[in-house]
Amino acid sequence: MAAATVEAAGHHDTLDPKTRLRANRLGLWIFIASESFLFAAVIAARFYLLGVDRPEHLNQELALLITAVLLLSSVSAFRAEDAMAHNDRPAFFRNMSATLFFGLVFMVGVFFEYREGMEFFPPQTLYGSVFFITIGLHAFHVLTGMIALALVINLAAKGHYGRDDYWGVEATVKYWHFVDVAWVFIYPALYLVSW
Amino acid sequence: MTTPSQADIAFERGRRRIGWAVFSALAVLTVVEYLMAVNLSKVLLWMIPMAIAKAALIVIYFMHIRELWHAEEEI
Repeated sequence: MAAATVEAAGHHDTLDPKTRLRANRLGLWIFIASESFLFAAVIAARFYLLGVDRPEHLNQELALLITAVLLLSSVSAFRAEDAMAHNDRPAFFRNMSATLFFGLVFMVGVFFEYREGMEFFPPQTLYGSVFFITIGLHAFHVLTGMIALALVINLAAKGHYGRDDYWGVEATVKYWHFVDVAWVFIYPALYLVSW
Repeated sequence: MTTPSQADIAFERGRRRIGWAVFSALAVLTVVEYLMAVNLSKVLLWMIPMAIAKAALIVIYFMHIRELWHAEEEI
């Protein structure tokens, strides 16, 4: 068994870089698809439990603000990946740090959302339970994305990655964009829809 | 450190434009969603296509989903 594993690992190492990159990308997209089902489930639960109504006490301005911040973070993440693809390391560090900063601002906004939510629709209520599960699940993904961003910045500072090998950057940035896509559906589902 | 060529600079400017163009489209759609939600009722059927359009912009332009079919494509 162990020998087979070693052999399999050895075989993996003999893959040419392009094939390995294609396999990595496919694996990441399958992972993202599986994560999408998780978010689809909580959004479906929102409509199943609450119908298409929304409560009065929702801080629309704060939600709009943190949505804008998250969308902005996608631009800086896009530019960071692009910078590494063209070996522009100063631009990479600048844009990656900006992405991390926007993530932090988003999390501060979520903290204020949580505080207001506790006051107007605590977790014991139907809307509260849906709200806290959905926002909490998403915030957890933002947090893990921020940890990944910090790790990639640290590795890049130590000289890792370059024009021909930046899979770590690409994967982290794609994951960050996925977090943005999830919010694109969560935001209207929790704050905007009405019938 | 190598000096970027004119082609690299032009390419970089093009990429930057794409980034900001996609962000602008996302921002406009988000503001339209918000204004509809706070000013109108029964907006569910408008929210669905707008959310799908926003997600498609991110998946196509920022996440480069086409790489799955065209492996050689430059980001």
